[in-house]
Amino acid sequence: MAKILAIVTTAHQGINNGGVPTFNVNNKEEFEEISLKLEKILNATAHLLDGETMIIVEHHNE
Amino acid sequence: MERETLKNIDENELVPRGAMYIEGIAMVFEGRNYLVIFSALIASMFTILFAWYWGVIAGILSLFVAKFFRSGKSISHIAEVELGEVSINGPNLFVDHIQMMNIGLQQNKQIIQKHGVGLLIKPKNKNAKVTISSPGQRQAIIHNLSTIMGVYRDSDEPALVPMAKIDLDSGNVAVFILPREKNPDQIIQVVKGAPLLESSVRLPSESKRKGGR
Repeated sequence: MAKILAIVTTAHQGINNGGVPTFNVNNKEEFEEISLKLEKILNATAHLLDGETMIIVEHHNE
Repeated sequence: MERETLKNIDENELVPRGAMYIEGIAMVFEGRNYLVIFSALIASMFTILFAWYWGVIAGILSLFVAKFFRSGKSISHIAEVELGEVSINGPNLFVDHIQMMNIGLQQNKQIIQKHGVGLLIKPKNKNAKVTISSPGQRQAIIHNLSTIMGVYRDSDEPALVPMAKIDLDSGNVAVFILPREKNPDQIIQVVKGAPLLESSVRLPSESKRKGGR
């Protein structure tokens, strides 16, 4: 089973914080940069949900 | 003994062997012990019952018998292997039309476009389809590929992990890997030479013949 560790989003309205750290960013550059940093720090995988939301996921089988 | 060693080593592998492969190796190792016992028995029996030179001849013959039993099958016996086209559509990575994973970051997409190689394993019959769908067998193929060709990734980078996914409709298996040595012909040969794990072999057609038993 996988677990969402963090959410990075430019869509400030769309995400209701459900216990997962959510990083609200303002533009595409920030979006990519924060996602990349989080991926490296958390040793997890970044998955693009839609154009505005990235979820950082820990896969347990890897 | 070798089971313990391999399990310990497996924890520090970039691409692990997986428990099924380790059991397969251990089983082959045990099997070889019996072949040694068999050769020794035959050689000594002939020496005692007849003359010493009959013992030598029987010993040499038993080596050929042991060699016959020693050889295992490989992927090339049950499937065709060919190159698959790696494509990225939005965040999704495909090998031919089989979806492998979702890649979020541009940086990872660029690495994959530059280094990624896709393969398609097409099973020859329905027995092969069931055999190749075993996750342990697929892991063994990926491990073999990454030990021989190298893998373009560091530890703690799950986004670049090699993977094998199955196409449920056709039973084909798509393999995606980032090799150090991007030599497609050699990669195909390596996959073909990957061992067929005894514990993953399934024979549904045989079962039908015996009335499902």
